[in-house]
Order: sequence, then structure tokens, then C-alpha cells
Amino acid sequence: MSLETNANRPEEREIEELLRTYFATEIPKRLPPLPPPGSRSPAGASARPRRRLTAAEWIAYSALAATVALVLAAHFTNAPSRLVPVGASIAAGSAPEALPFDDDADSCENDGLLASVELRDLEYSVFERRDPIRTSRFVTDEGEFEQRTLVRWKVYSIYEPRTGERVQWSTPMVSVTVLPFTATAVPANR
Amino acid sequence: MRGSMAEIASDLPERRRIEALYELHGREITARLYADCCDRELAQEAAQEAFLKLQGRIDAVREPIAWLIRAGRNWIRDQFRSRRRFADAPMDGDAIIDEVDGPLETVMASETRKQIAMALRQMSVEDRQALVMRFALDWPSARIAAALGTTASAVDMRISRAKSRLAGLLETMGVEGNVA
Repeated sequence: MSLETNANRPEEREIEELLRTYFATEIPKRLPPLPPPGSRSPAGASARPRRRLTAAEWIAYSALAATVALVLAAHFTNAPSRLVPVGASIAAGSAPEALPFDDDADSCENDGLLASVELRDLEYSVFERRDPIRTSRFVTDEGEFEQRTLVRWKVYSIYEPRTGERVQWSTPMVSVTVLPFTATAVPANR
Repeated sequence: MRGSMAEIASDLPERRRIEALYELHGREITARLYADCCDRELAQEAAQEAFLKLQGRIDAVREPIAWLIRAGRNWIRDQFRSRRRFADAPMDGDAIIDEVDGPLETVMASETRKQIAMALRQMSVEDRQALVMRFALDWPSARIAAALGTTASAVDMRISRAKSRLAGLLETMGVEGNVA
């Protein structure tokens, strides 16, 4: 910084006056009213571009898309093409409950997915819900079989405390079990 | 900063509490966000977005002012990450000039306002924070020091140097004395 005094240089008092006047217009004392909840702020809302996805959202949407693609691929590659679906009238009652559903067959825990998410400053939780089991029966040369399809949804929730944003997504996991079906094993009243 | 929630009756509906908080501290939040981005519209928008985000979690936020500033800064950061927003930012001060009308033009030449905006952008965020708190919010040094986590004497020193730096920047831009 030069030690010379410049007569043209704005003086301290002038700078202060400039700043007060400048800030009075830039930051007016009267604020625009707060918009109602659920709406966007009016200032520049129309001109504002769409918000870009955060890294967590990108990962979440990518994981969801990949999971859906895998489920669809698994569904079409494992379809029992040789089996002939039988109508519900073939066997009355539900499937033999004595046969345990192989709940552990699907051990997809998505550990790989969570490991790839930046979780240092994030709070996250995972919980699971299940759809009702859907059953279908088939008649083959080797007898009747029942196919049980269970769709489990893992719901992931990530909360970023700095922005107060919560990102939630769910991934479906499909378990398909085929069991031999014997109508005699079903109680008559069922 | 302190006691912001204590000033608002806790039995009010959440929306009313947020509005009351906005009335009490909206300008402060806007000013501090302005110091970050030097964009009036962006700062106002960021402040409003931050207050809207507070909906539904006001009881869970311990330090609402600090939380609002963080939320607003993150929102501004997201906006600046957007190429379009960045391209639209009035970095040359033209947008500011366009919005000047009425008696203010007689107080301050639009060219000078443009130069002040450009000079402020060349200064550090810390200097701008101190200048905004002093000359926009009229805060005393002790309050600025509390907000910035420093001492009052350090604040005075920072403001003095910031004013000197601003004067130098304006001088290089051709702004001379007796401009106001």
C-alpha cells in the first residue's frame, strides 16, 4: 500500500457514506413478505434454473435405476417358460404354510451401495417393509408347484443437517421360491 | 443473534413463529448472505428459501440464526454451481445499474454503484461481512465480533483496513473523492 496521500482518493468518511447509501439500496430495510409454505420464494423464482441434484441424490437415483433394471432382468431370465400357469380353481385354499418361506434366500443388503455414499456428515437410516406374498401355481410333468413371490422394500433415508434436506429412496428386492404343492396337504376348511 | 427464539412465544403456530423470526432477523440473514454473494436478488431469495426450509423443524433447530445462514449459504452455493445461474450473476454490475431509478440516482451515480459492487467482489468475504454488519446493519463492534467469533478491536481493525482497501480499489477504478 502506498504511503503517499492521494488527494483524489475517497476519504474514510466518504467511503462510509458511500457504503451506507449503497447498502441501503442493496439490503432494504423492508423485506419482501415470506411466501406461504410449500411455495418457492418469489424473488427470481421464475428465472431460476432447476436445482441440480446433489451427490446423494444422484447416487440414490442411480442405485434405484440399477436395482429396477436388475429386478427386471432377473424376472425375465428366471421366468419358468416350461411351466404352465394354472387358474386359481385348481387348488382351493392357500399354499401349505407348513412349508417355510425361504426368507434368507435373498441376502442382498446393499452394503456396496451404502459404502459408496458420502456419509461422514450425514445421518442415515434404513428400514424395511414387505408387500404381501403373491402365489402362483403351476402344473408340470413332475407335478404341481407353487411359486411364492415376495417383494421387500428397503427404504433408505439420508438427512443432511447443514441444509436440512432429507433424501429418501427405496429399493425393491424380489425373492422367488418354488415349492412342490400337494393339495392333500391343505386342510379342507382353508 | 442470541435469544432469537426466546423473543418469540413458543405457543404460537409454527408458521407464525417463522414469520416472527423473519421479521426479527430476516434482514440480518439477508445482509449476511449478501456479503457472501454480492447479489441482492440472490441473497433475498436465499434468505426466503432458508426460512421456508425451517418449516417443520423449527423446534429441532437449536440455533435458528446460524442454521438459517448455513441453509442460505448452501442454497447460494448450489445456485452458483449451476452454470446458468453463474452466467446470469451480475458480475459486472449491470443488473444493479438497471434497477436504479428515482431519487437514488441523484444521490449516487449509477457508475459509482457499479464500481462499488465490483470493488466489493474483489474483497474477501470476511471484509465484506464486517462492512455489511457495520454499514448495512449498523451493528456495534462488539456485536460484529460476537457474530464473527473475534474481538471488537479486531473488528475495528478489519473494518478500517477494509475501508482503506475499498478506497484504493475505487481509486483504481477512477472513483475520486466527493462522489456521494
